[in-house]
Amino acid sequence: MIIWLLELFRDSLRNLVRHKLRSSLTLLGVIFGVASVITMLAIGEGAQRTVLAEIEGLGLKNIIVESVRPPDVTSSTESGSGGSGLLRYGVTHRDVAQIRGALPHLPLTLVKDVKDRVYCGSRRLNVETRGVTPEYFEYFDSALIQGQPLSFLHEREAMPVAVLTAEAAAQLPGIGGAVGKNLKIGAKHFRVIGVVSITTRGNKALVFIPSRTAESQFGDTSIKQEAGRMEFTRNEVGQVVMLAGSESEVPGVAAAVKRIFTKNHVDADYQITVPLDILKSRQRTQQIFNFVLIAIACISLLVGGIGIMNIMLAIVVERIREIGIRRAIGARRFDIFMQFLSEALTMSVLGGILGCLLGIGMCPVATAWTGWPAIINLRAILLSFAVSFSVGVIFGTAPALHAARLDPVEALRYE
Amino acid sequence: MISLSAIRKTYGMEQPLEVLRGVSLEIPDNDFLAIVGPSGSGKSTLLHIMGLLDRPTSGELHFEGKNVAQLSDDELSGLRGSSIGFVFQSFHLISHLSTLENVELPLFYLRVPPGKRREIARECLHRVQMDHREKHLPTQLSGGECQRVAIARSLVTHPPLILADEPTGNLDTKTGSEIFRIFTDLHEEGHTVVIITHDRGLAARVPHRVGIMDGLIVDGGAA
Repeated sequence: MIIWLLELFRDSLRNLVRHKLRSSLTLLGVIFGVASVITMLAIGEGAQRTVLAEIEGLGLKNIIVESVRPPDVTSSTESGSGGSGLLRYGVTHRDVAQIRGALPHLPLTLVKDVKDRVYCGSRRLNVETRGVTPEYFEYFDSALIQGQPLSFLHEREAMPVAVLTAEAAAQLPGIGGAVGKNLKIGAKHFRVIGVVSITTRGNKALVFIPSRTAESQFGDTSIKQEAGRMEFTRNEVGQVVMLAGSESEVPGVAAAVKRIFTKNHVDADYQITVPLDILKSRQRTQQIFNFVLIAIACISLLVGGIGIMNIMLAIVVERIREIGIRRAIGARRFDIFMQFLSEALTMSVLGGILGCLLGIGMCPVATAWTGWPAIINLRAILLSFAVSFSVGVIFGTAPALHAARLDPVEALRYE
Repeated sequence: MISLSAIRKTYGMEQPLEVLRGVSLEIPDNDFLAIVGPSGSGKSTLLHIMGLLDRPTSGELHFEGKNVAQLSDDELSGLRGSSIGFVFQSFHLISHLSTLENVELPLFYLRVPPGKRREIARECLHRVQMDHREKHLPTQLSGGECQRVAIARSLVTHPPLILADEPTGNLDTKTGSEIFRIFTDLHEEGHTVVIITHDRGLAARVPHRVGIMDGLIVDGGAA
């Protein structure tokens, strides 16, 4: 039986080769369908892994509350006739105290945002400055690349030192490493002591200075001058990062923190980020995204399948007399059915194989073109292969049945 | 071998055309029979029914003692493959298969392994003196050569019955005689050979003849 099937496929392949142009055009539909499945799933997989790695880097046990300057809030305190005022917003020490009261065993670390501009020599750096404690780095997926990290000594003595992310270090002028170079933040001078890699949303360029240095040197109030108008803003805490004991505790902690902030804040001047929630939401989105991708790819395979069915019906009509001859010399209906089904299957499977190769070849091109990583997984290849096989069976059955049902005498007489 | 009793065949429903109108015929084993009749007399329809390619509208057909009406389509196909060899006027070779592949095709449907198939097919091609053209396509052969290949194909399963429909109709006189000689040899070897023809000259060389006219046996049929 296996030899018989192999012979059927060998003959099918010969028939395809006999009509190269017709076969190639028919195969194109399946090839492009399968190639698009492979490429789209690879890009989807790559995008998913990148985003998930970023979210996981934020710490799946973390709950982060950030101060956000409300977009349409006017100053709470007017002073002078020039329209200057003091805008208070964001996380306050009162919020932190209430969190500590409600969740006394919850480890947390505070981040102080410094709004002053940062220069290295005469070059202004496009960075954000954060005052952090040494523990801050333990809350995130971070690693020291160069130099030394911020220490408790730096924190205790409020020393003018800075640690940069690689993105910020890359902006420093001159040759050599970042360590040892001097920065000017506002009017204060800092020495770079290390470079770290740390996962942040959007991979921002960051400058970290000791928390106490930030408090003592820059305070809570910042001044912005524009168009003849002075604006004073006061933000006590830039971020508060909390670490739950386990992932299962995250929803409870997040709910408690949300309650505190909902009670204390009228304006939307804070943003709670729960990486675990983002991860779950992202996974759900990815599932929908994958479903849509597969649906699109299946539509293109459907079109390919209709192409196969169309050409198979034409082949059956073209070979009606051959069917009559085969029936006369002993072929059963099943033999004729299998002969034409195997031709449809050979087309779809060959299209599947070529489509897989094309899809694998297209992935690096798509990555180079879009910048999105493409990760080819075996599941996508097997899925495409199974779908192309099914296309052959589904769209080959009707023409094969048509051939098998032909009356032998009428087929023999067919001109 | 074959027994036909009051076989009728009608085509069409709205305007029925009765092609066979009660044919009765006994063909014993190792007979060499010519069924002679003009065009439209129903002889090809009779051959299709005897060759189990078609079913009669009424009447009984027994093939090797089996009532054909009780056999399924697959069983009929099996009997055609193993017990009947067809030779057609227009050869009916498959144009994209080589001579050897055409000859071995009936064995493919009997699930004979490829090696054995080749061996038997080569023997049959040798038998009709076509072994030197086994790799050629039918389009590269003359009419006489094609008919030899068709005869080799009909012999490849060693069937007891050979049915030939106008086997010399497309051939010149000399080639026709050579082909007829092969049928004579096959009969002498013990095959039952039935030739359908409108050629009275050819029929005259066959030991047993029946005439058919307007769907009826007019000369030499069963009582």
